[in-house]
Amino acid sequence: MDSKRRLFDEKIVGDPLDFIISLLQASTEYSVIGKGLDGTILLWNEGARRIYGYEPEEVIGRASATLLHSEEDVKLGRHKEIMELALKRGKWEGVVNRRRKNGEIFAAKVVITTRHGPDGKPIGYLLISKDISKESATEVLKATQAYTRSLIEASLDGLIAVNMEGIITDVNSQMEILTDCPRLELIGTPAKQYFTKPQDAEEAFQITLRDGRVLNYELTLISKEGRKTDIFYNATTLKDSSGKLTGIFIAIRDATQLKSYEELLKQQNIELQAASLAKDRFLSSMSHEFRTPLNSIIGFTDILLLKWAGPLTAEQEEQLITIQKNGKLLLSLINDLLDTAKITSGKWKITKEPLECQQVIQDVLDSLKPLIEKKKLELKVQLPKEKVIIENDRRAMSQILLNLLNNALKFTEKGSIEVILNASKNVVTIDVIDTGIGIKKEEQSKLFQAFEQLGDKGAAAGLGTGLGLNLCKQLANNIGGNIEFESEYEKGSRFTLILPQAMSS
Amino acid sequence: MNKNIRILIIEDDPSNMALETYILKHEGYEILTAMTGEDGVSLALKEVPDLVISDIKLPKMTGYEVVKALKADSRFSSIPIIAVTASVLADDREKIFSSGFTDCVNKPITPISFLEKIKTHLKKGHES
Repeated sequence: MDSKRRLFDEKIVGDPLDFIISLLQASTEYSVIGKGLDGTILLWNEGARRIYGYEPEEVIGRASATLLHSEEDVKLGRHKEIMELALKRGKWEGVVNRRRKNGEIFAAKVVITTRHGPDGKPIGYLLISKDISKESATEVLKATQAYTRSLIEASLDGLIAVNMEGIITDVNSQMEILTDCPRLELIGTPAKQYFTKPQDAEEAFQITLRDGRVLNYELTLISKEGRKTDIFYNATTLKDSSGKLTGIFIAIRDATQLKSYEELLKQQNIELQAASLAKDRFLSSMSHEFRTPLNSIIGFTDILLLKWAGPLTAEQEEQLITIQKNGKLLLSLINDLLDTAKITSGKWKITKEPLECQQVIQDVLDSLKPLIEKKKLELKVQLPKEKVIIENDRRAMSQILLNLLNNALKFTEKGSIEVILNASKNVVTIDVIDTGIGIKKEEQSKLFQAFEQLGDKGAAAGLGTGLGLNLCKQLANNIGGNIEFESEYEKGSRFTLILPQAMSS
Repeated sequence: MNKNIRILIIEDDPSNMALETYILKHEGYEILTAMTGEDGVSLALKEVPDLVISDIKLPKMTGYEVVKALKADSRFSSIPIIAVTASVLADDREKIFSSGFTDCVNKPITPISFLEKIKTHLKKGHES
């Protein structure tokens, strides 16, 4: 700094010394300290008194190092270093730790200049310092607040702070958007008035005060323009530093999208149910419509075969039998279709009752006896002497066994059909074993699929509907069981119905 | 031998009508026919046959309404009314019996068992 620069007009100031003294005394935020080269304090202004806590009388004439520097700086010789630098360069500026009379260490911004005598030799120092400890704390606080605020403002949830009376004390910008109200208009008003049902909002508020929080309380927000928004009200209590309850903090989450998905899902569900019902109706009416012409086809074929309409040649009779056979095949296809539809739509009602397995098997075998005899197949039946009783659905079990035995009969031309019943502690198994055409390895995976007729033998011979095994498997699963099989091509097959829970009597 | 026994068939499908008529005529019954529920009811009330066979799914007046109309007339209290239906739904079967039908035959019908059922009910009807 140019010391020769003219800084004031003598005429305005009057006595320069008076002026300087009053300047020093008026400077209360800045401590101005003059020191000799040896560090003795020569000048102590009002600012120095306020910042350091010493009266001028206590310090003038005393060495500054022990009074104003922190012990650590003194130990490290830091205060001397600074003074030497100031002497060398004419000026030193920086932040250092200082010590107050009460021992408190604080950060001070210090400017040290060297004073020179008329001969240009250094004669002492002038130290001007400012306590920045409070200032920096405020800066940090401000920065933290700004950061917190930006988080609050960035939130996509509307945020509201309310006091114990439910009056809004603060909101974020999302809240302004949701309510169509500026911040200042919202603050000071009851929070509940921004909901379609203020009494419900009041309840949410009371629950929060009582339980400490509330989660996903469903409410509808209403804006100044009358715009309604379905929201989730989430809140926690607010406490001051002493732990005293001061109000609650509410996060308002827009539920519109969630609600619209929910609505969409509901709508689709209704449509699906309607479609499912339409499908059921279609199937039952299809079954009805198919049966009506089939009634005439099968009925008249029967009449012709009964020879009520007159005698038949052997050839005519054979051809009529083909019509009859195919008519009945078509009928069983319709029955299987309807059953499949019933099972898949869960309409096959399962009625569990105690069943004697031997009896169920015998009944099914009795109904098939004419077919077995006609094909000249040997029937081997192995049933345990002790009654095997299970709790299950008679109709489903009979249907499965009937299908499995029918399949065995269809695909076996010579040899035997074997039925074996086994009961262990947890399961009952019924094996149906034939010596028929068997199933090729590569086709076994398709076995239980609907409308799959394996190989050319089955399909070409018009032996099945392609639904039987699929139906059996679904039925077995429905009654808590399963069907397993093993097969060797051209040797035969073994199908096993497995049912749970054996009870011996 | 059955010439003096009259059976009314109410059936809208001509082929099914022909089949049922053929079977019953073969057995010697006298047959009355109606293609709609309305015609069936008026013919039945006029002729009072020994037995009525009615389809369920009929245009406009259904089989259920036919049986209701006939059972409202005391002359039909002991006349068997047999339903013939192509429906296999358990619910429909229940409805058939609860609405007043004497018995039910499922389509497709087999001539022998159909005749047996008719004979059984005619016998019962005459005994009562």
